[in-house]
Parts: sequence; C-alpha cells; structure tokens
Amino acid sequence: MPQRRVDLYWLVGGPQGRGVETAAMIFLRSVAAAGYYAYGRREYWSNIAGRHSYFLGRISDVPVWSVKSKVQILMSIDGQTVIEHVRDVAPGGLVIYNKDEENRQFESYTMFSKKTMARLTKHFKEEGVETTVKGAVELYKRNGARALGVSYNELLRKVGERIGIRDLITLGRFVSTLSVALGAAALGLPKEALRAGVEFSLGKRPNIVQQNMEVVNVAYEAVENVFNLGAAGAERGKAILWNGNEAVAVGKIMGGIRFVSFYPITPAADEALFIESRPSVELDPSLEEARLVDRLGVITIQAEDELAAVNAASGAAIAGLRASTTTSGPGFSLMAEGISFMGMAEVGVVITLWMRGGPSTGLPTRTSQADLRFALHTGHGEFPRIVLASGDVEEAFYDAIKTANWAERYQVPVIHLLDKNLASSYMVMPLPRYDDIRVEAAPAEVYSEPLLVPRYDYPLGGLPRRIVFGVSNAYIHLAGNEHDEYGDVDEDAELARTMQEKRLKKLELIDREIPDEEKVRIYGNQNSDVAIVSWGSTKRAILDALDELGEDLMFVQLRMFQPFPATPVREALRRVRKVIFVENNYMAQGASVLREKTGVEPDTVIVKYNGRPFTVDELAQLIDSALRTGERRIVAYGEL
Amino acid sequence: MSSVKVTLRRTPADYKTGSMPDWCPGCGDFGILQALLNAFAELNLDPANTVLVSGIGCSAKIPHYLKIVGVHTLHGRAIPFAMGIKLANPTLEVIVDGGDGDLLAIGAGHFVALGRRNLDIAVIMHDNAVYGLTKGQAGPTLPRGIKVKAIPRPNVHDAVNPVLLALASGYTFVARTYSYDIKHQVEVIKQAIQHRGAALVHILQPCPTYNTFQTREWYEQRIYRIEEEDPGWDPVVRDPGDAWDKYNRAVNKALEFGDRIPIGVFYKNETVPTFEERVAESIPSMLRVPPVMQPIATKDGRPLITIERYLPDRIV
Ligand SMILES: Cc1ncc(C[n+]2csc(CCOP(=O)(O)OP(=O)(O)O)c2C)c(N)n1
Ligand code: SF4
Ligand SMILES: [Mg+2]
Repeated sequence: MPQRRVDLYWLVGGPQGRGVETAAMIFLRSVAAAGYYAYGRREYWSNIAGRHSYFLGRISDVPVWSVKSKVQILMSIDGQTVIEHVRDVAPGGLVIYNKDEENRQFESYTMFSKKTMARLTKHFKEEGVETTVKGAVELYKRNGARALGVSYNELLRKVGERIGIRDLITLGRFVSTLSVALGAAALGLPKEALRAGVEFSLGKRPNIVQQNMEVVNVAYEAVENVFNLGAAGAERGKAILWNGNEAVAVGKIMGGIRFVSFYPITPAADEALFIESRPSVELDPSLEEARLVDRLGVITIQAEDELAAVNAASGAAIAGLRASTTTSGPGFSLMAEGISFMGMAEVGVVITLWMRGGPSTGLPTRTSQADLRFALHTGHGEFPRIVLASGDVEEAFYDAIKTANWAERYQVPVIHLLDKNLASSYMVMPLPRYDDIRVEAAPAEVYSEPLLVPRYDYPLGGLPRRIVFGVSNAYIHLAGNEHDEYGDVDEDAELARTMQEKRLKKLELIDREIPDEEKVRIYGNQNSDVAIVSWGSTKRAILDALDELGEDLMFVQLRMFQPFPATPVREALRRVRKVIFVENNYMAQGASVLREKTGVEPDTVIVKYNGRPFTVDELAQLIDSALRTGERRIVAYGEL
Repeated sequence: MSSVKVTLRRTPADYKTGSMPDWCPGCGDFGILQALLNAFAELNLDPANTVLVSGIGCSAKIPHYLKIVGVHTLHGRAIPFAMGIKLANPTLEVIVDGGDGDLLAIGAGHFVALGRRNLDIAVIMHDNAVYGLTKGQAGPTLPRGIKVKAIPRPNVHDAVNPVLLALASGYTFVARTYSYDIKHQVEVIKQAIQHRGAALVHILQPCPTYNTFQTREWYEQRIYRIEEEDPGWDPVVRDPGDAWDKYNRAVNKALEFGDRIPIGVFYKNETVPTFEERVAESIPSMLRVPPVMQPIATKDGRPLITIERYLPDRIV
C-alpha cells in the first residue's frame, strides 16, 4: 500500500435545498481532479428546504472510506452551520464563515432543531460567549482552531461586477460554489481542478462554467493557501465517483438484473431512480450479444405501494427475468407476505434493504442497523432465504452482482442488507476489478413440444427446474399454497412434509456451494486473543480505528446471516479470549445472532442508535475503553 | 422459402387438467371455468404462452383446472404479479382471475393502478359479493343493510360498483356478464383477451352457499343485455374525439345497478397507449425482443457492460 501523505477531514454545511449537495459534489469532483481519493457522507433531515444539512468527508492519496469526528476544514453556507459544528473542528483546523451573519442569534435560524439549539445555548452560556455566530467563532478559537470570516456579499458583488449581475439575490445562487471554492483555496487545491467540479455538478454550459469559475477566482483572491495541498503527487489511475445507492444500481445492471420495482422511500429510491435515469445504454458493438439487441435496457417501475413492488418483481422473476426490488424499513414491512410467497413458490428475487432509523417512520434520513433480525425472519412460515450484509460501497457493488446470481440459481428470496450510511456516502474509489466479476446465468429448460412440466419434482437436496415463460415451451403451475410436483394445491400430510424438507434443504446446498469467504471475512491478526466482531457498514470505521489504536487485533466481519457460517466463525473465535461486538442498534442484534448460531457470547457490545454511524476516533476510543475496563455494554454518543 | 405451419385447433377439453374443481355444487365458478375453456379454445390460445394469474379465494383456484401457465399467488396481489410477468415478456397473453374481495377490498389499490397503467391484460372478476373461501363474510360489492347467510348482522358497508370504478380508473375495456350465461361470457371474455389494454370483465357470480340474497333468481329477474334494449349501443371508441361522449354514456349505464342490471360491453377504447408501449418508449428493444429472451451476460459469464460505458461521466 502506498504511503499516506495526505489525510485531511472536511465538512461543508448549510440549509437543505440551498446547494449543500451541489457544493459537496463540486468539492468531491474537484478533489478527484486534483488526483486524490475522497469520501463524503451526507447527513440531512427529512425535510425539503431549510433544515441543517452537511457532508462530512475525507481526502487522501490512498482510498478512504471513513470519517473522524474532528475536521481540519469546515466550509459553511450559512451561520447555523458554524454554530452547530462548534465542537467539530480539530485544533489547528480552519473554519471559513460568512462575516455578514456574524451577529445573527440562534433564534434567527428558524429551522434550528429546538433541542439542538437548547443544548448549544447551554454550552455557549457555560462558556460565557454570546449565542450568535460570533460566539461560535470565539469558541472555535478557544479550541485552537482558526476562523476566517469573509463577507460573502462583498465577494458575490465582486463576482457580479465581473459577470454583469448586480442583483444580490440572483448572485445568491453562487453561494454553494463560493463556500467550497473558499475551502479549496485555503486547502491550496489547484484552481483548475475546480473547473471539473463545476462542470460535473452544474453542467458544461460555457456561460455557467465561466460564471462559476469567476466565483472561484474571487475566492482564490480572497483566501490564502493554508494547507498547501497542491495536486496529488503520485498517479492515482482511473477511479469512479459514486455513492452506495449508485454502486448497487450499477452492480445490479452488470449482474443481469433487468427489472427493478420500487415505491419511493429514503434511502432506497435514489438507487431505482438512478437506473430509471439511464433506462437503456448502447452495448459495445463488437460484442456478439449486441447483434440481437444493441442496447441494454432495464425496466424500472414505480409501483403503487411496496406490496405491488415486491410482487411485481416476483412476477418478473417467475417469468424468468432477473428481478429486484429496493426499499427501506417501512416498505420492507409491507413486503413480508410477498417474501414468504417467494419462499413457498420458489422464486428468486433480490430484495435490497437500505436500513434507516426505526421503528415506524423513525429517522427516515438517518442510518441504523436495526433490521437484521427482521430481515432474518420477515414473512410467515419457515422457508429458505439468503441474507447478506455488505460492509462498504465496494462490497455492495460486487454483492449486487452475486446476489443476482444466487437469486436465480437457488430460487429463493435474497435480502441484501445495506444502510443509509452506505446509501449516501459518496466516494472516489478505484474502479472495480472486472476479472472478479462473473454473471452466472442459470440455463432454462426448453421442451420441444408444449408440456405440462412438474417444476417441483426435484429430489431432496436439489433445485426446482428453471422455466422461462415464452421460452421453455412449458406450462407450469405455481402456488403459494402447499402443492405437489406440478404446483397444484394438495394438503396430503406426507407431501406437506417432503415438500417442506425439499425447500428447506436448499439452505444446506446454498451453504455448501457459496464459499466461506463470501460469508465471513477476517482481517488483522488471526492469532490475536481479542476479536472485534461486526457486520455491515461499520467495517471501515472499525478497520481504521484498529489502525489508529495500533493494536494488532482480529476483526471478524460477518457478511452472511442466512445461511450462517457457524463453523468458520466458531473456528475464528476459538482461541479468542475477548469478543467485542460493534453495531448500529440498541439490542445488539448481530451479537444475539452470533450467540444463537455459535454459542459465542460477546464480552462487550459497543452500540450506537442515534441515527449516526460510528466515526473512527469515537470507535477507537470505545474499543480502547472496552479493552481496559471490560464493560459489557458501551453506548456511543457521537453526533456527527 | 416459406414454411407451412400446421396448427391444430384446440378444443375446450384440451385446456382441461386432471384436477377436479372443489367448488360447492351449483357454484357460479363452474360457469366461469367453462366459459374460459371455451374462450381459450375459440381463440386457440397457445397454452405455453398464456398465463393465468390468480389471487386467493374460491375463484382464485381456477388456474389449477386449466392446462396453461398458472400462477396462484396471494390474496389481492394477482395484478402486481401479472404486471411483472407481462413486462418480462410482453408477447404473453396474461389474464388475472380473482374474487370481489381479492380485487376490490385487499387488492383495491392495484385494481385502480392497473387502470392508470392500461397494461394489456384482462381481469376476470368473480363477483359473488361475499368472501367465499373464508365462509361467507360480506364482500365489497354486497349492498348495505343486507344480511346474507353467514354474517351475524346486516352489512354496514356500502357496495362499490366495479364497472364504475374500472371506468374511473382508466380501464379501456369494461364489460359485465353473468356466470350462468356461458355464451355471453365467452363472447365478452374473448373480447377482453383480444383487447389491447387493461380490460375488466365483471362477472355476476352467484354463490349458492353463502350469498342467500343475490341468488340465481335474483340476478335473472334483473339482468338484461344492453344492446337488446338499445340496438344502437356502440361502446367502441374509434377516434379519440369520440372518447368523451362514449365514456359518459358508459358511466351513465354503469350507474344502473338495482332493479335492472345491464350486462354487455360498456366501453372499449384502443386509442390509449398501453403500459408496455409507455415503458418501451425508453426501452425500445423490449417490444422487439422480450426482456426474458435478451442476454444478460456474455457467453463466458462477463457483464455486458462496463462502468466506463455505463457511467462515463463518473470516471475521474
Ligand atoms: C392477507 C390475507 N388475509 C386474509 C386471507 C384469508 N382469505 C382467504 S380468501 C379470502 C376472501 C376471498 O374472497 P373473494 O376474494 O371474494 O373470493 P371468493 O372466495 O369469494 O371467490 C380471505 C379474506 C388471506 N388469504 N390473506
Ligand atoms: S363458497 Fe360460494 S363461491 Fe365458494 S365454492 Fe362455494 S359456492 Fe362457490
Ligand atoms: Mg367473493
């Protein structure tokens, strides 16, 4: 691994709907153009306009996947950002703020959370500073950070003079570009890198680019280069800028999924909308397959509810098309019966579950890992399923392909567990390795003359026939009722027993065929007597926390929960003296599954359930505390 | 060179499976089954390309008695399943069968959505105004104040009018028929299957076991054929300009449900694009090569597309 020369944490914030996302995208793309890797997690309210929203990120010359709770540079669109993040800048860091808002009181920000405001008011009073942006600036300085106030209005007027716009309200639309251009200038990013950022986020229309580049010029004139980042030294090579929703969308398409149904819900809808925005793409004309159809098309259907979404995907899969549906907790609850049907009728569909804070509507835009138990048990009755949890955006991409293969081969529901943390984390990451990708299309049976085919006549330990409607020349029956080999309803006692055995035996086949390294991954020192065990999107924060701690511990990442890899997990933990389980929920659900499946009782659980993912420094500190104190339950409070 | 394809005409018996229906003696569903058999034979449907999707109920057992592709799904959800099947292969003939409870109570949202989509499938509604399979509770089409055999007190819900709801939802073929009139049913079902767009066939289906109010006699005193009473009745929209007028007349006719019950075709309009056509606007290949027949990978198991090709604007 190349030596890390640059490792810098950043934050950009402002009112939702006023260009925070645009600002962050300009910034990420500019950083990428300067040759770095980058990461940025989006935090936002369930709100369209006005609530405080921000991106928390990192820049480095090696790939980065996690964040810390203290940043080196804070870029702000409004004063509330400066107030809300008063504890989030590291000593020696820099806050760039709008001097025009200096005297604004907390109350003047009308969409400030009452609770956050009350807590901050108390803090500011205790520190003896006024409850204004100026008071916040004072606190940053006390904590050893630098604060750089510039008048955004003055700078925008200067921009206006150069581009011939006098009206300050019209100029206000440049504030998102301005906020990150000021940051880029202070970081010392090459100015030209910003052009790529502007073109990426705002489009390539010459007049738009020119206007925004004038904003960049003004920012670079106003702010001196503090961090001296320059362009990255080493050649980074081709990389991709995307977020978890998009990586999964692309994985599905590469994995042969051709039908995606959904009912709009955060944080899943963006995955489906991304596919819908590119419904058909030209194939490489030199491909033999391009002779039949020259474009690859994916049907995306916005259903009337999740009942329709899940069952329409089921219908497409029954007909023989690779199909998927994507949702989050509330929608997944509605899908329960449809998933049970897939188990009974033996239908393979990928159900992508982007977990968010629950119960009920809960924290719609915040992260959580509280649906593991639900994913394991959704739907009535006993039936085989696959439940796989990806640890980061790169895994999520590959897993989207693998789950598509498995759904078709085993004809079972495959629940792909992800979360909001992955959904809206953007990153510049190395391009996936195509050599690692296999799309294993299961062949369909084709009969020479139309035949009534017993789809379910397979032996114990086998798999049902794969019939494609309109291709197989077969007429089959499928039923959600218990059925005979032909799919016709029958309640005979012996039949009921043997059919149930056949369906559930598929779990053993799945367990045998899918290699262990897909189910559990072990990092670090395999002889360590302490193991961190976790699952899902905590992975990168854990790996970086262990680096931070400098302890050569073992990290066991559980990926597959059904079928559960009990033997390799038990084996990995056999000589371990202490097991620390980390997860984003209250009940330590993963820890309870570990106990249930392996008999291993975690010594400590580190849990967090405030809708925010773990940060690296927070986790390093809590793991350290677990090692020293042996506490059984540690709750993380980090607010970023 | 041209090849001569010999197609044998199928008979109703060719569509029969060995399974015997387990409906009560005299159940209206027998009439519907016979009508389907006859209609399939008269249309000479290819059993391997004809898919009947049903929900749950006495009515929904029907695919097991038919030698075609049968998908017996969940209570209320046949329409979404059918949508997935039809889009996966638009060349299939897709038919939905379900009860009044299935389609208008638990599945009402899907029933409405199908009209909005105008997906090219036919919905055959077995309306017995009760929940047959759960032993006779009030169905969504049972009038208020009526006490049928198994309900403890008179019905407190008003009835929904399936024909009116279909018209309001956007179905482009709407008809009503009666389950003991095989000939009329066959005529209407054939038209519904051949119709290009979402079709509803509302079948008045006596349930002799539980619907002690809307009996065979009750229906037969009230039913009349629209075109017999009004020989000039022409429900077909041939030009989009006629749609408004024909639609209004259909709605007015649909309001008639009481002492007199019209049966026949209320409305037919093929000038509205189907859902498949709407989806295919952005995926033109799906109507030429059905999605289930399109390759998903190269022969050696590689994806058909690279990220560079799919997302050139994201490569940095
Ligand atoms: C989700 C769900 N709820 C309830 C049932 C029980 N159930 C089975 S059939 C039925 C009603 C059937 O009525 P209808 O759809 O009118 O069909 P019919 O039997 O009258 O033909 C009900 C409520 C079920 N199968 N699934
Ligand atoms: S209960 Fe009614 S609908 Fe069901 S089979 Fe018997 S008669 Fe037919
Ligand atoms: Mg009924």
